[in-house]
Amino acid sequence: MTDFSFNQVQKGDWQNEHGTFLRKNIRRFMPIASPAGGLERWRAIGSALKESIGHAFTSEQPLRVDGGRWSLSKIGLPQKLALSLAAHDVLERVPASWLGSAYAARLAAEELTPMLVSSSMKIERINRLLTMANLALRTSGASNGQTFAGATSTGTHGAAIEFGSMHDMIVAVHVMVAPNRAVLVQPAGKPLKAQARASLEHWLGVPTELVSDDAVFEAVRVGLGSMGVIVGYVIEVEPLYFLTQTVTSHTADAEWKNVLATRSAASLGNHSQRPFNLAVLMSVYKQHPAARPRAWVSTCTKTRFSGQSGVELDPSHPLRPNPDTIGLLANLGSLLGSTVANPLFRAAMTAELVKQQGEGVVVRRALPGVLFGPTALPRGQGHSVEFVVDGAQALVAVETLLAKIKEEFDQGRQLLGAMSVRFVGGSSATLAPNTKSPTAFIEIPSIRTTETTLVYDACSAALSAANIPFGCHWGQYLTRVQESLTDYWPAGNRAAWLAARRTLLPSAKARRVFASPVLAEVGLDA
Amino acid sequence: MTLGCGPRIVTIKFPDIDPTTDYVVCDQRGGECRGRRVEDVPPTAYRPGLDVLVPKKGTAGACPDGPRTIEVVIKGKQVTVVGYECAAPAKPPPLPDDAAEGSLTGGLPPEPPAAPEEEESQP
Repeated sequence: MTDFSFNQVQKGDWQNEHGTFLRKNIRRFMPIASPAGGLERWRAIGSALKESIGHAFTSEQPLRVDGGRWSLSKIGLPQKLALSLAAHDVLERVPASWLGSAYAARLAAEELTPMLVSSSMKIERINRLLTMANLALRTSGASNGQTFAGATSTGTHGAAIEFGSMHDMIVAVHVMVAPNRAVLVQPAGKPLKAQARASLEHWLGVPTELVSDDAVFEAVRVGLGSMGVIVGYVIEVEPLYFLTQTVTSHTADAEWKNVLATRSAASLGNHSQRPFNLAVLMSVYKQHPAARPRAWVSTCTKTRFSGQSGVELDPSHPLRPNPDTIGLLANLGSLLGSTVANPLFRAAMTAELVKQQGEGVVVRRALPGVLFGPTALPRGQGHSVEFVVDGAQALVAVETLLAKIKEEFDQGRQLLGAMSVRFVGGSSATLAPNTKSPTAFIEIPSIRTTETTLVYDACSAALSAANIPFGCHWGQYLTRVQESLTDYWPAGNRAAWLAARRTLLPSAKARRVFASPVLAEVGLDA
Repeated sequence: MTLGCGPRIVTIKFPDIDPTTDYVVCDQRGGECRGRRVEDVPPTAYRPGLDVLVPKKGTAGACPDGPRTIEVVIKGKQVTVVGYECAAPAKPPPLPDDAAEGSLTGGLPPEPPAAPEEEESQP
């Protein structure tokens, strides 16, 4: 039963996608797509948004959107109210009438296509739809179960050293900031014309302002799910391409350490001199026997796809060749059973790494939606932290972390996972993890045990003690974030983010309604 | 070509296979792939997931000079196409003006009358 005219409302348990967080007695608004389509469908979503957000304002209860359900941090956790926008399913080319002339000329010159994408659409669906149209996301995370808003709001990335993260393809953000008020935020360069605002206002039935301001735009791109309810984005996509991935295994530490030190795999011979993607996957423990590979260096190059449109990706595609440690855990989890405490697990884990990644040189070629296909954590058993450092400090940071992980192991605290280092081009988004150019993302996923969090906290303490400034991926376990906001992000970025949030959400009530529980923990609730 | 236990990408090169064929059929046991003409295949014999549609030369939207390669993934009894390459560039993707023709999720509603540029607000 519901007292909302457009919503299906459930009350019950809320879990994140990986089953690592459970909240009870959550009221979840789930607008249903109007079968009429077209304007009527948009208006139904607009009415549901107005009612849902209106209820949150009236009752002064925080409202969290389901876009954060992929996260392993508490960033998406609802307290009382949750909202699913799955019914708003839009991925379309932006009308030409929206494009400023200078911007249209740049798009043509760079062969980019502007798309309107709904915030709730999952990466897997975006990949499938774009592939059928001979288009592709410019980069993506290694997993594909996130929504576009969830991925970008937390700084999700791939290993695109030549590009950046997912939020770096955003041109404008369409966000509800009050029960009957929306904003279309774009850079001061005004790539979009006022027609974009007028159309979105007409379609959604919600008064909408156009804000062309760099500070607000840079903040809302990685807005931590706390800038309002994001309805959709204008993003740039590019012509469909193949990714040719070369993976080499390494026994000698000097080889993979040289890659981290130089941010290049050119010295290894089999790799491209200037790849689009660069990543290193490694066992966190030395291999036994030592002749087994400990690390795998992965590079990808892009090749333009020149075939006909309409290629369909199989959503259950069997390939899982990417250096995605989250995906690796799914297989590791199947090994576990009830043997988490078994000391033999370390041997099983390192053997699984060799089995999955192979030995010698492996070359694969696939469309991005295939290469970065389905991945999953072992439900309820996953945990992960991701430190980000200046690319120039990748090697010293990894050596510091590996030494601490060994020290923890020697004291009886075992980490049941692996480490992945991915290099990503820099971003101007205010709280983007990839604020350095390039940034090294050091991800350490693990099977969750009582020891895992202790090891993660020890790792962040070790980086701090070594005077290595580090940031975080907002969607993974958060540790020492206040320190990161002072030491890693450029001076003034925290204040700039808070100021932009106050611009979009001028009332204290609005800031409370759209607050993640994480904000207060890290000092971003001012 | 042999098939192991795991999935693998198979690149089928043309003109090893006649580019006028309609389907590529891969033999699961030996992994051999060959072309088949549509007139040689009864409609009921087409096996989704096993027979891979080839972009035919000369048809709308297809490779203008026929395909150069087709890539499939074979795992167990499943064959999944992951891409084609054309011998010559295919038709470029439509420009934004052609948006209505290239709808991906049902299209956008009609736009309201043109908006004046001066209505923009600043924070």
